[in-house]
Amino acid sequence: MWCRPLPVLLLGVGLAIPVGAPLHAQQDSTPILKVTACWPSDRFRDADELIELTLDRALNAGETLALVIGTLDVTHLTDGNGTRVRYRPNKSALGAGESPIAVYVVRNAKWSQVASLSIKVRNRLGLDEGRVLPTVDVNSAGQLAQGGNAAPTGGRERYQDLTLRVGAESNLTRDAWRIALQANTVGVSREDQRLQYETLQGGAPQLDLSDYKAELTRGMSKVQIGNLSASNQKMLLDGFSSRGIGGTVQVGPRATVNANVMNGTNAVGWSNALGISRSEHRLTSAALSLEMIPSRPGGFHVAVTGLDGSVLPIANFNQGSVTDAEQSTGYGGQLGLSNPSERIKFTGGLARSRFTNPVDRLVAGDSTIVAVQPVTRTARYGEMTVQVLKEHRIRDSLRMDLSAVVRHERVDPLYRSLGASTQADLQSNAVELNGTIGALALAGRFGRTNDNLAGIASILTSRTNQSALTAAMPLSAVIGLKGAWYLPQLALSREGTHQFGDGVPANGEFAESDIPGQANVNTTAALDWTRNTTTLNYRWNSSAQDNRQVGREMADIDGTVHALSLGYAPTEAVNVSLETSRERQRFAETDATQQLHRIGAIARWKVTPLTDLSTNISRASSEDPAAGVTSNNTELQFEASRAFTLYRMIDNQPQGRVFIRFARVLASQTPQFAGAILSRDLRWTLNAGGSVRFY
Amino acid sequence: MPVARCGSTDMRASPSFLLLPFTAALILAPSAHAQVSVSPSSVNVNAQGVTTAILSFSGVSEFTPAEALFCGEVVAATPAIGVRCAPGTVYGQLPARYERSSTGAFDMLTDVMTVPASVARRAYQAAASGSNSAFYYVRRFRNDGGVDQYASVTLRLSGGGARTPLALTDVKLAFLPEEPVHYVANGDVPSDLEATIRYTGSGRLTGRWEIVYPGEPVPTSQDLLPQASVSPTSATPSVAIPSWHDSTCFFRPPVVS
Repeated sequence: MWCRPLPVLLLGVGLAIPVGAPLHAQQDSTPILKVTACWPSDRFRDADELIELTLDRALNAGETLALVIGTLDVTHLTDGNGTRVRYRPNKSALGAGESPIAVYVVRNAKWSQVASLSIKVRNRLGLDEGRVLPTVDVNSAGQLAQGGNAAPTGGRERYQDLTLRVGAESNLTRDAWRIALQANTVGVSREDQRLQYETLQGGAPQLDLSDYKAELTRGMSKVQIGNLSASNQKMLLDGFSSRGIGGTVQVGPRATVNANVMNGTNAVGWSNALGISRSEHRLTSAALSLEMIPSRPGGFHVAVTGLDGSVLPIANFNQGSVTDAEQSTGYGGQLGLSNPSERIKFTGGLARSRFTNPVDRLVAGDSTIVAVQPVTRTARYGEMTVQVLKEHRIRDSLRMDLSAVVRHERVDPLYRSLGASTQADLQSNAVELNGTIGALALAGRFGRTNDNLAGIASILTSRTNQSALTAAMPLSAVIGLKGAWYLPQLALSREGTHQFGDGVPANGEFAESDIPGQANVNTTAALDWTRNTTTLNYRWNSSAQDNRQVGREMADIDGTVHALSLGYAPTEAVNVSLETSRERQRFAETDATQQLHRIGAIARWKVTPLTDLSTNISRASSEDPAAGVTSNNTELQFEASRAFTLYRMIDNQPQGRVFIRFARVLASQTPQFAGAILSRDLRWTLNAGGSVRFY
Repeated sequence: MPVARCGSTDMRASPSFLLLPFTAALILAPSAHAQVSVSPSSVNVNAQGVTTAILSFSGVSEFTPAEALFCGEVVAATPAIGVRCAPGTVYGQLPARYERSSTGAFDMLTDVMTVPASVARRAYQAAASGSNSAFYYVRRFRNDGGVDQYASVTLRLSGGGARTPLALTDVKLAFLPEEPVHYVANGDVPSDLEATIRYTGSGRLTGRWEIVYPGEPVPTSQDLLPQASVSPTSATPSVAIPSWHDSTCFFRPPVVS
């Protein structure tokens, strides 16, 4: 029998003390009564399971015991003898969830609470927690009218498109077991907005599965099906998300084993729901992680990962890229170390991957093409962080922090792993310094990169030097005038990049003029003022591109940007912002200067808690002397929306909203100096729609 | 470039000069038709990844663009004009999924040359084995009832940085944590949105986030093309950041300018 003392509440004086200690200010000399629960307080139990209490002494003459569960007095249903009190509820007596139990001693019609316990009862399905949250939304967006000479003709002038979202989320728990389910589907009336329209065109299902996940967990171990994410080794398997089946098992306090079988790309749709049906488009991974010092996670961490995969030339659902058929098999290790104070940290890893491109019919066509030779290559990285100074006292109120980071990364030529995004044939080394002195924050980064690591004489070798310096300081704190709103927050940054070719490669059709040589400097300063409900921001940016390539020495570009924005929010219901910017780019080779001026305003007014009005207007004007053209673009939008609730609020929010929006875009081009308008394109639209959330 | 001086008495004085007018005629005869040329005629490409570049072919009015091949060596295309890929050195063709050539004004064909990473890998492996590292992009122009022409571009292997055409080759948009479709309840703030962009070349990447309102054209694969290849009429008017309302919104990443 599981019986242990439980905390009780001493009424009258309001102190919580454990049962076993004197628990009631009994008025006479009657010995104190201790009550012990015979069930683990942190676990759920069946609704009809026996409730048993143990007393440390038998009741005295004139004493009776009262038992109240929640608001239900079940004293008359209890039995027991001596120091045992039992109550067996029927299945419907106790509600699911946690209920308080109060135990009283009744003496001379006076009730004194001697114990305050709690009990967790499973629901009718025998679950500790069973929760299903459906979601059903219907959105409607349409166009009521359009006009202007640039309005599309022959298309849909008036329409109303519907989007239906049906989803569900559930969480089922019993003892240490937990099942979490979640799924979302999207139905779209308009064909080109269906989830798989890009790949299936007219064959895209009208109602499609966007994502789902089922997870069975017991303690630290779990099995997952659906949308997963795997990340075990930076150079081998890093942040890879897709559909599949995976699992994690904790072995003892130190070891964790993880394995996944996943689709080659992140996908949507009903077909290939598990994501593992096509062997030629599938990744399989396994990893062993060892936390050598369990009491200090990260203190000494070792991980070993293996990956085998093959993909077809298919891009991720949310990606546009140039794809290939690819196969890779590899393994890697990762090491993490830190000292007890965590002022010195190291992470590093090494991976080996064998990669090849299988025949892709669309690349090969009808020709006999040169085969790609499978090669095994290595990638490695290391990062050491040292917190040199931590809260170092300079004077009474002035503290200083300083940390240094050293990074190294080398990825062999032709290295590729399907589970990670790496740039092959590149070696980079960098040093980073970060520090604060009082309110002043400073950072500096210096790095060098080079490619053509195999030193192939006919391939161009490029070298890149990069540096960056940033500083940020609230001037009011630096000067010592706290609260002086007129002293802004200042941020400065300067980045420099110099890339150049390392000589003219032989036997590679290179001329001296094909060798890159470019130095770029980008400098930014920003000032921010805040006073009550008003914010003002000014940003200045200067960029300089110094071309040093032979024959293009004059092809330099200088750019400057001035941007000013003002925000004003006098109340929570009103928000106004104004922005203006002026950009200039000068091309030294032609001595031409392009300019762009932009001014815009955005305003929002929450007229009532349910009604919003918003508008934005902007005008952009650009001058291109090379083309001899001035372009103007004016945009105006006005939107009104009203929230409503049909029958109940959902998540404390109104259930639906309707909106109407007017948008007008006018684009015109005129000769820079004189002459008739070259073009004037006007388009306006009136859109309206609404949404209702049923669950 | 051969130069013919027809009608000169000196030409008959030597048998070799007798041959010259005939040879010159053979060479120059096709020039009576438009000569297909391409600009640029050489490009630095990424040796370890994808490269895209805009090519302009001129003099194509009498021709129909046909296949485009990548290869390590070229040979004279006789009897056609130009050079074609040498057999046994073909690295692949421009995959149909990246065929975006379009005919424009002035007898021009604008071609988006996409060098898949697998093609660059073949070129790299050939260079590593001692071959010339340069390879070629050769497009055939079919002349129904006449002689086909070939136009080639020399591709030089480099690191894909400065001096390589500026192009976005991989754009991935994701709300964090990554999920295919992000659902935001009314009143909630959407989670962070991130665009991971891979590119070649160097240049100034400016732009702003755009939200495509309900009723506006949804993003297409054309959105990944360099700005120069998108005609002004096909570009969607940009919109300012809106207030949130309950609708399906699409996101475009910043665009190149």
